[in-house]
Amino acid sequence: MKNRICPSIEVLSGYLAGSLAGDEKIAMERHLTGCPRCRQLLVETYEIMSSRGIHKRCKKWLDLAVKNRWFMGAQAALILSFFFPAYFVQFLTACFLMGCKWIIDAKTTKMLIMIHEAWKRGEKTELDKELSGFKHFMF
Amino acid sequence: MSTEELLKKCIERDYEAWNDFIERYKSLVTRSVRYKLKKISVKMKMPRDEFRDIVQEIFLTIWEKNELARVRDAASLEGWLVMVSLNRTSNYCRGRIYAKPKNMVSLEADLFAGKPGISLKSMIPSACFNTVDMVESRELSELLKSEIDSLNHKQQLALKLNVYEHRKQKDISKIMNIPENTVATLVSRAKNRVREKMEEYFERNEGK
Repeated sequence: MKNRICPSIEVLSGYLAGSLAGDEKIAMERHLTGCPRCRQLLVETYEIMSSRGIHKRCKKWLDLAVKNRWFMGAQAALILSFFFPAYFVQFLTACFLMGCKWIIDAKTTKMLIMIHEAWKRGEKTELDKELSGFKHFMF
Repeated sequence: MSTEELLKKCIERDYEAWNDFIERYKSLVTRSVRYKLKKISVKMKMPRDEFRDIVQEIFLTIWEKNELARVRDAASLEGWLVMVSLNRTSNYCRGRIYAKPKNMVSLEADLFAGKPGISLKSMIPSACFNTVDMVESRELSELLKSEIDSLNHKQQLALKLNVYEHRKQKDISKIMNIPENTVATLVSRAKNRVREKMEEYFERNEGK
């Protein structure tokens, strides 16, 4: 059952966020010393919010790993080729294939291919048009 | 969209902003609900649909009662949302059958249907029957409690978070929004003071 003098969760969350000041903060701390229920709620909230930070960090690393999976696979195959000399050629081939896949999948490579194709077709980019106009103006 | 803008638009009943809000905080609410269910040991017994119902109900109540208007500022929004989720989950489980562990008998309840007044509590020997040890331990706990209560509020809170809630100094500093060194000082001073008082008590008792 909720204690009648317990502050609202808006105030409690404000305390955790550090937005309380002065007398309000002191009153909150005084209350927390004597109310195990509010203290528990505060600690649980903190626990969930701090685990969220860990989740975010894990997700960031996972995203990075997924993004560079071919590169990492190529590296792993290269390292394994030295540890298992009997399968040296196989690992090296895997390393080569994954390396190629990584290069093809890379954004910069895709962009370069698109530029090359456009150049082959003779299309002028917006920048080229602007530059040609500028040259005309200058000379 | 910043949290302030999102909060403001949600308060103004903007549906699009509300959808964004759900998308942004769905995982946080879900994690809070899961945490609470795990803590009160009903996670395994609860059907998956019911779990989703709780999450949905939390968002629905916030929207219907426009509870976001009560949030003080954007900085405390996440904490507020977690607290709301924890409270709603425990309220939801309180009345449910799976919240009560099996084979649990109340101390107050009558043991026999036809004979009122015979409960387990009446059969357990009272503390007054116990020996000096019981009196001493009670005296000791009262002394400890009064010593902790006599500390200033900051020392008390830091000590209670450290001892009762098993929090590390780093966590306490984040909860109380004070530097870690200050927490270390508060806790060590509080512990030293309580230790001194307890030592005095033991010395006094040994002398008797």
